[in-house]
Amino acid sequence: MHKETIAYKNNLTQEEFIDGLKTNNELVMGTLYNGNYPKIEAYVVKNSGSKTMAKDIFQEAFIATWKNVRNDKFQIQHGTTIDAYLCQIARNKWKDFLRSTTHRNTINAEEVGNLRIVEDEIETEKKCTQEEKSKIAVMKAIDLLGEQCRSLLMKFYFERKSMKDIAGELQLDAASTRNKKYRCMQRLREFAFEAQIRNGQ
Amino acid sequence: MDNKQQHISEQELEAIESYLFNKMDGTEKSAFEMKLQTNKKFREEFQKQRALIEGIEEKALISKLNDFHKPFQGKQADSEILKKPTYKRNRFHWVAASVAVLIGLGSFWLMNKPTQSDRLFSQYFVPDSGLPTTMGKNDNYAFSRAMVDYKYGKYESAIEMWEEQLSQKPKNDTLNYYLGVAHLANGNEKNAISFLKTAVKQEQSVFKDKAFYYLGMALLKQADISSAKENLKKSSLRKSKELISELGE
Repeated sequence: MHKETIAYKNNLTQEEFIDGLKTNNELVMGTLYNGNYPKIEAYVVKNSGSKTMAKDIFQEAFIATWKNVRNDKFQIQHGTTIDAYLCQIARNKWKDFLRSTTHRNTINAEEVGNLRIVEDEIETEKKCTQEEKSKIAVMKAIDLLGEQCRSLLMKFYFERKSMKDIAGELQLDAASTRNKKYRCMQRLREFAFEAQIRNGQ
Repeated sequence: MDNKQQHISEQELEAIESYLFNKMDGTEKSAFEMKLQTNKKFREEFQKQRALIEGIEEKALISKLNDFHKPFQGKQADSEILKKPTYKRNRFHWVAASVAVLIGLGSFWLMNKPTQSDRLFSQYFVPDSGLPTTMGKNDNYAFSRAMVDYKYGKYESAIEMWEEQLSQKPKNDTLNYYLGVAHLANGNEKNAISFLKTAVKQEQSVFKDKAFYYLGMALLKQADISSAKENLKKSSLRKSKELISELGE
């Protein structure tokens, strides 16, 4: 029933997919999502998962694919398609998850649940690399921004809208919008990196 | 903020954007890359700005993916509700009954001490900082996934996932505890009380002290001071003791 609100396109070429993912093209990303999610949902549900789990796994795989395409880790080669690549990542993630819970059940997770969590805590702190810490700090910092800043930055960096269009939407002139974007980035930088220094991380 | 040292000029930021969006011509690109190679300070700043931009994009993508998911959402809700009818229905009866009692008690106290409980609640309430998560590596993927949302303050989404997991193991102390705290942080102290009461029943739980504390907080939010004190007394946390003395013996 929501289908009318999201546009899809059939017959996109592999180059159009790659280009669309690199430029965050909504039509291309929506098409990729819509064309592949049902397959993964069927796969996860058939393999002892729920639909909510299918959604999470698929979205994680989607983000991983999006990153790999942007970093040129995914290259078009003869016979490979972006659909197959995305589905393969999703299936692998689900298999990893199944393997880990199976392992968990053999030592009766219910009874030792808390004990294990404490162990995880120590291990996790060691595992968390500087890069991951900085990523978490950035994601948290974005939440701290005001709604106007967040929306402006997302329109510019994600939707790739022009300064002129964003200025029109915000009913500002182009120069103030440009300056506002700069100030929002400064603030975000402060939230993400200066706070880390203050906390001694 | 404007008085602070500027790490990067507006022009430099725009150059970084052009580079990342692949909008530079050959000459500009080589000059930019040369600057990255030779100027350490600029290189470090470039890495920071790139991390910020990528973070913004990823955050926006996550919300876009949820939009893409909407056509599949309706079907999902129907089938998943069918899977666990008894659990949900029973719980809501229980919640309804306790709410009725609490409203009765609460309304009496509301007449007397509404401002003190509100003030103390907002003064003391900080949601539990959560458990560390490593996505993809942790054994309990589904639990961790919800924990990430919880830490980002997306309580509704975390609650939805944890409630689904709770249907598999309704007495699990970790789930009941975090569901309670998440409901309380989300402004729903009635549901919080229901989960926290289950959590405190687990004698061996490491969350017991904290669960009694948050149960006391939830009751305080409801202005049920005597029940709040009763539960706070069962918690050995220092802040529980502080709160009791604030409430007056």
